[in-house]
Amino acid sequence: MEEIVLEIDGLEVKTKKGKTILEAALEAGIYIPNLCHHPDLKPIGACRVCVVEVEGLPDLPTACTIKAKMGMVVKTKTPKVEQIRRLAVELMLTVHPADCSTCPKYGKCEFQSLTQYVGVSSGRLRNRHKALPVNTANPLFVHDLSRCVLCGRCVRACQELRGVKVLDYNKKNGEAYISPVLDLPLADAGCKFCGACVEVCPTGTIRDHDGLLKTGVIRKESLVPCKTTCPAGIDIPRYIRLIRENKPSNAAAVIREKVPFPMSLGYVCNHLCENACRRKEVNESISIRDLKRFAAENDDKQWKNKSKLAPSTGKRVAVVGSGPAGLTAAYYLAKQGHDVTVFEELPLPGGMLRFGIPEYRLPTQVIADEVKEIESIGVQIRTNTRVDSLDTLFEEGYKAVLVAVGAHQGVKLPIPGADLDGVLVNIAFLRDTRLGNKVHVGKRVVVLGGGNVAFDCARVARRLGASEVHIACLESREKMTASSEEIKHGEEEGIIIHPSQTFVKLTGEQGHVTGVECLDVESFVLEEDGRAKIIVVESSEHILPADTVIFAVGQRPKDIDKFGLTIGRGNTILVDPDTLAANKETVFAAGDVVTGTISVIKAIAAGRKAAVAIDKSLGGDGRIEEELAPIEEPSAWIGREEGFALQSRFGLSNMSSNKDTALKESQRCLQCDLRTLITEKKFWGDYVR
Amino acid sequence: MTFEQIQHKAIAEWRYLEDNQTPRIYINTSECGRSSGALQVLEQFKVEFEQSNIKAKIVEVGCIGSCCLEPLIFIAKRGRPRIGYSKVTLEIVSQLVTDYLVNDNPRTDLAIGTIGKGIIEGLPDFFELPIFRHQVKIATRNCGIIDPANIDHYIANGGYSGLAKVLSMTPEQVIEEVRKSGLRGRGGAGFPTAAKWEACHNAPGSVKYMICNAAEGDPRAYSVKHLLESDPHAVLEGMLIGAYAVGAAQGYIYINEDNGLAIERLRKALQQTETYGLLGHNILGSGFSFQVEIYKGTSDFVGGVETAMISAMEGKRTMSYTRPPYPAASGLRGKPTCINSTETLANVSAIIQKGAEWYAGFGTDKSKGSKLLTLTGEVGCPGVIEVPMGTTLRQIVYEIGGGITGSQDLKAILIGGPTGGCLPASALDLPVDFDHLAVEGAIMGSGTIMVAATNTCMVYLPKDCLSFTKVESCGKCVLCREGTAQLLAILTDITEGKGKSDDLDLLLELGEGMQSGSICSLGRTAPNPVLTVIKYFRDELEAHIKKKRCPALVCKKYITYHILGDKCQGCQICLKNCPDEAILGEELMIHVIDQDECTKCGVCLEVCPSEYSAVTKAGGVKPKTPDEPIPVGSWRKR
Repeated sequence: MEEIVLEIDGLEVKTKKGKTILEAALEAGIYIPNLCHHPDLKPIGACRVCVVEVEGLPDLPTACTIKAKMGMVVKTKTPKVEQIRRLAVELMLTVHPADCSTCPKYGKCEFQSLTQYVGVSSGRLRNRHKALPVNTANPLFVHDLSRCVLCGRCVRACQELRGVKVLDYNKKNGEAYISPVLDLPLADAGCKFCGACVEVCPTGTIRDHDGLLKTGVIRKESLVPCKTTCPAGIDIPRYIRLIRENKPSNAAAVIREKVPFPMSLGYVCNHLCENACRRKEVNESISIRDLKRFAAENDDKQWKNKSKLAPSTGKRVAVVGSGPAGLTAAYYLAKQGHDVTVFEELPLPGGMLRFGIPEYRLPTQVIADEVKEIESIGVQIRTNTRVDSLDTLFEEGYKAVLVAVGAHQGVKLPIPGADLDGVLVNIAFLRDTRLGNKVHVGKRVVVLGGGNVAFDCARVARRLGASEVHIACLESREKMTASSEEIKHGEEEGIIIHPSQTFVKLTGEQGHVTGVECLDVESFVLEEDGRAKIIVVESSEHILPADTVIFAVGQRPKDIDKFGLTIGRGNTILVDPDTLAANKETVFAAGDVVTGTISVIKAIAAGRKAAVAIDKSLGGDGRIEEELAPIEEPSAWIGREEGFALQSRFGLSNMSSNKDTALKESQRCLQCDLRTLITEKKFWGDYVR
Repeated sequence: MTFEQIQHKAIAEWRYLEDNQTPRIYINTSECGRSSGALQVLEQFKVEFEQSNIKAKIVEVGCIGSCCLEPLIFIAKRGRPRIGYSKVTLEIVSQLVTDYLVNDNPRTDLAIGTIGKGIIEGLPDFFELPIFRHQVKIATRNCGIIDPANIDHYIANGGYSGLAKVLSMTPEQVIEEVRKSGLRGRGGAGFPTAAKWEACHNAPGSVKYMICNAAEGDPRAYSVKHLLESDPHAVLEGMLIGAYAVGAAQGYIYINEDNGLAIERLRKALQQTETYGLLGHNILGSGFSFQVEIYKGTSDFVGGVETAMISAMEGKRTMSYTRPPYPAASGLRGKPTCINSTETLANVSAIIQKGAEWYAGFGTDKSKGSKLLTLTGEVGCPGVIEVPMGTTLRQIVYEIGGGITGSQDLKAILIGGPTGGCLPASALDLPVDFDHLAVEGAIMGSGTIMVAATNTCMVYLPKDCLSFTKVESCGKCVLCREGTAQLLAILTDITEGKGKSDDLDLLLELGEGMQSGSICSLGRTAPNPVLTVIKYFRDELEAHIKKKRCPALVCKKYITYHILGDKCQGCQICLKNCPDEAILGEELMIHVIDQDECTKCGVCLEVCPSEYSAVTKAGGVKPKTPDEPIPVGSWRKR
């Protein structure tokens, strides 16, 4: 690149050919006031604030539009320049609210900063500001046109940077203003809700809806809530983009960068990401989990060539429990070069993935394949092997131990009749079914509990031949903790739900359960100590007849006293929240055994965290991050797409391995991450001169 | 066909028409003629021919420029000149048919002058009439003379000989010829045409564009319409010559979409030139190819700004952008683009046809040739005129324009359109050319000369201009968008009694800031009316601000209406017409205006019979009038 040397305010400035005077000055730390300029957008010289004097050029050119030339002599602070600059800022102020203090952008507003720098205030000229109503009718974005100074940055961002062409200059009653084409609602105008307009707006004109962005986190993270919400931090926008670009295998690799169970998650993840997805403000969230499954199903495993496998450290690590937490930790520890052995009490590995989730939700083969992948890098899994003492493990030469035994003890409510025949407990019931043991259910089954496990039990009971299955729970219909799709599927299978019930006792005849005596609940709250305070409807006693009752009111870790670790509430192991270290040297714990029953993805995230801590405790660097798909700068141009906002969600039932459907669904993504790639503009205080 | 063959055929056609035994009637059927009833006149001729069983040919021609003469017709009989008859009514048509066509009496009492060879006793040469004597016909050489829809008429009068000539020259030679002529762009700014062509010619790239800027956003300007409706080929030939010089194979004519007749005539002209091999592939076998498309733009004022025009043609909003790069280097779709105004191109064809030296013989030292101007406002004979550069305002207003209408005097002349300058009566001896106008603070601009009489308020006039430019500002650049709005707000305040003592300084600061800091010529010239009014009519502005008076009695805030007791005859006409029922009185009682109810609409003044002239406007000094209605004749001033 040809180097250019020019003089700005008596200083010698070097720059590259093709740069404008403004770019050359800013890069050299010399501040030339500017407003409509944005480093990512084409300059238009509209605000006239960056006018300068250039020897040999007539009038006052704008520094943002004139290319620097060899030997150019530029003056940025002459009286003539300052007069025009002040006038331009004063004129913009005539249509802008005089009081900044009530503006949400206060303190972060480029225009406010500029007026302070130039040192002007309103008052000398005629005030033309009009208090227009703030338009909050659009999803995601607020348009507060009474603050607009028409710098045109949003228009350029929308038209030239993104190619969406929704925002444009408009004119009404002889006044120019900026609006979506034809003043349509954003969705109708073809907005793709990428947020570039908000990002480049120097004033408080185009903003995110109040309260929409999570506070207390780094701003850039709050802009991409799916990724930030994912416990494992999977780069969701990136893999959805790869699916859209017809590279599902690369998408799978991106998922692989954070989790060793992409396919299992594609079936059963509780997708906190979807709940956080900004697209739901437009219409419905993206089917992120289904897209994950699509990617996993189309994984050609090319990522294996990039997956690191460190040379052996010779250090042995024992992992107790082969659920998602234990296996994840084992996988990453093995990749760090450690010799990892996983101990599993049950005959097959997988933990809750295999024994807590019914086959119809997560096929055995899926688990088997992903476990095999983990074994393939050298992780040894010893099934049917129960660990009764950690000391024994250390004696056998293990340098570190991870306890990840999960929460396999089903809980019964302490009510009369809980021990009658025909009363079953969730986890044992599901496990026995999965093990192929003979499990008997009656014709009429009542499941007590309102979570996903209750639905699993109910739907399994249905499959085992129960002709009538009921679910009764304490929570009201709206507050049930089961996911909406579980409830939907359950109801489709004919399961009858009885919300807002409290259980008095189980009735029985000749030692066998005959029903559940319930009271209707008017309201209940959880008190500070975790107990429920229940207000019942008087005289609402009734009996739900049943010949089988299944408790699905929670699980606890089972049989963990033997490890000699400190136990906390709910029979969980107490650990350091940052390192997951238990109160015994080089012993760590992760997953449900620490948190109580939560979710697969959180167990996996905990497994990763444990792997990092254990690796470090063994002298490693703890770096388990890897790059399995090529990092590509995404295109800022997203183009127009008619009817974008209206496209409704495509779910698994019509996606599965259907490429077209997956493509369509991936195209619904708002690509919120693009917004984080827009350069943040510096303020004058950031420059030396 | 070779050009000589084409020319031969055209001349034969033209001669056949001109020398025919059959009489010819020439009628201006351009839009200006039509709005005066030209088509009805034309129909009447046909009816009369039928009734009198006469054979005569009607030739539809373009406009000769003087609106005050319309409907204007010429009748020519074999061996005699065309005889012009102005303000022709249907009655006159039937008289002319009977008297001149049937009985050979040319009715010199109805005629105003002759065009062409031969003398009619008692009639002057049409172009020696006072309204034409100071004019020249270069760009408008054929306007009103030939049928604009007939290419043979154009060719028979020297048309396309310029094109034929340049095809045997090098582009450099063509540019040199235009340079020698001294031609400067007629679009307003006066940039030398040859320099623009040279820049575009020298710009690297094989694809270049030639654009004819036929945008006419000033609602008072008519010269573009005039040229394109009356002689489209003169413009097309100029375009072809320009395209050849700069090396463009594709041309566009950017024209206001509402210019229907001009578009229709251009279309026809394009078809004809193509049929004759004067446009399209391998023109006249020279190897030079050129296509022309008509681009219909909106009639936005800013559309005439080159960069805004390019944006519009690229499908973007009609908004100007900063230069450089100049269009000659990188214009339409990033290609070198030469944009010339309609008038410039009509001059180009004349220059090449008749030679640079001939052209340079007209005009002043630095502004050669002639200029089309739209003369409008309070003059007796408005219209589109063509005068040599350097013609004085006095000649334009008092001779060509026939002086000020009514019993008023000249107060100001707004030159250059809504972004032009307001010059005072003392500037009457100013020669009109680019440089003299600039010195005085005016511009050539859209070429309108709007004459304002003594009843014009010199705050209201620039305010009127600014209300136009404020709306027409594309809204992109702050100084233009907010500057025009601010100027307008201040001027409005001044007309409404809210002017402040430092307002004139503020207007000056804003105006000068806009002139030097706006992106395009719209913003740079928009303050001209204000700045010139401050320069030449400061007293009147100060009267508004300090004394709260409008000397011209225009600004409602500063005036009152009164009914004079000694003149009112109690006829009730004003009373009945007052929309606000603010007039008290009854038959034969002197009427009285209730000043609290009066909205100063002025209807009473308009409707009061002129023989009474009982209603008057007053500024600071109010006439004594009765407090309440009293019988007519009983009012005695005390």
